[in-house]
Amino acid sequence: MRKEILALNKIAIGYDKKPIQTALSFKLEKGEALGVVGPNGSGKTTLFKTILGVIPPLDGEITFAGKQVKTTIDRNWARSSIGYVPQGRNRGKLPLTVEEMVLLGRWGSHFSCFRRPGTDDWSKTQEALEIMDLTNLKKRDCRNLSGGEYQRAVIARALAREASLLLLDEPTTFLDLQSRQEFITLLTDLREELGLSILIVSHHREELENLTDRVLLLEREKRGALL
Amino acid sequence: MKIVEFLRIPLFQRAMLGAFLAGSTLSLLGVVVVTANLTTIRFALMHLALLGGAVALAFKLPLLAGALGGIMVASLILGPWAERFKIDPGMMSAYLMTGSLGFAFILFYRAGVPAMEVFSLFTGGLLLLNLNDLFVLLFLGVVVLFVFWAFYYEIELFLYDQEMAEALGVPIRLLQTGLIFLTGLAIGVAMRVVGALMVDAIIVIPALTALSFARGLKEGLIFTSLFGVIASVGGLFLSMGADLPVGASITVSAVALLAIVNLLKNKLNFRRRS
Repeated sequence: MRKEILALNKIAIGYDKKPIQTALSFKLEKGEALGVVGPNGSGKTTLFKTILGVIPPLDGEITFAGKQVKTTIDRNWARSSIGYVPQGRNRGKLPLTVEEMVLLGRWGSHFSCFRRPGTDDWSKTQEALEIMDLTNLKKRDCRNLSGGEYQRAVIARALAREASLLLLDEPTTFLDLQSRQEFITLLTDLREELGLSILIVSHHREELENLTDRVLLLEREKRGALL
Repeated sequence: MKIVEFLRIPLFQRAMLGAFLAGSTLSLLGVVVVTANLTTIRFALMHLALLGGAVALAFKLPLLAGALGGIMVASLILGPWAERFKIDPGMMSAYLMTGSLGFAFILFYRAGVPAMEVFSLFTGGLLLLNLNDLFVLLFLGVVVLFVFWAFYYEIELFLYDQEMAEALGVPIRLLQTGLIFLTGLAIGVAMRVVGALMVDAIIVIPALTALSFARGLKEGLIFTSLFGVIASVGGLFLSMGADLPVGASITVSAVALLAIVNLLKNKLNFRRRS
């Protein structure tokens, strides 16, 4: 039997005590991939923010790697094993090399305020860059990468974090068809090789069919249903 | 009078030290202003510092204390209060900018503040810095350096992608409020050096110059500090050598530096392409 990595038990998610989803329950095992679909406003991003501990659940409980996540310390602990991959639209105005960006993935899990990155952090960064075939681009400014290269760098950042769960929030929205296919193949390979668990939001049904084992359908103001 | 002779005079020595401290440390906050889209908020801070300065002039209080008082109020409004009372900082900045300027001029008129004193608020008084001003400048400079050293990676994450920073657990609201407050203090002190109208010469332009070619935050900070020193100390020398107003000379030096760096960058890019 595979080890359970994440379990949501009857949780309600939303902002300012106004629930978007109620009584949402699902489990994710190690190495499993679950797709999340639903219309805008159905709470897909809110679900990710709740799992990441950015906003607290309005009700119910979250268990990560067998431990119930209740306090800030629990949330920080759970977050240190989660790699978050946003859409890749926001490149910001700050000049940042690919290497520096990947290193930042280790913030909060391996270094933080007054605990500076050490040799281990840099070597894990190099390892992640190698896995994602980005070593030759490591001194390049992130803002000058192509869409596909940038999303590979973001995955490298999650790998540098040594995450066991990847949360991908519409990661292929800004990629062309070829880059999208390459990205999904890459995720499938990583999942098999590293045993990563994946939770992915996507509007492209074929991506979810190729990558995920199950799909969670979220509808506005209704309970989520596993398909 | 030769420049070397100027430097024997304590007044110029203090001005030189003040220019160096402001240029090398306060300018670092420009990196935050430029990359975190705080340009509107910076304007609001500047205008409230101006109102604080006007209150100080009207009640014959130290100018710097008045400006810093205004900054504190502005930082509260744009930081924690904006969060708590769901105020849009952009909209609030617009109110603060126009409102504070209007109130400042009413105060000048009602209190009968002499025109030259009002003028000094707008154009600064690097040559009028006293030891207390220098201590404030030194203290703030040390605080700025400490913040960038201690929270380097948190600031880097915040400036790079706030959504990502939040997902990793960086307390971004606290960091943003702290940085706005520190930027406000820097603006208040820079107003004393170059005046309200030319604060950008120290706070924004050195950072804009450095970020136009820097490849990372560290490089950006080092070059911002360097350009800040060149603009402020160079501007002071320019004003001594050519008998020009100090604030304006610093501003012109900063702008010239920005233009030169951008020209060189464009030339290099052009060569690479051809």
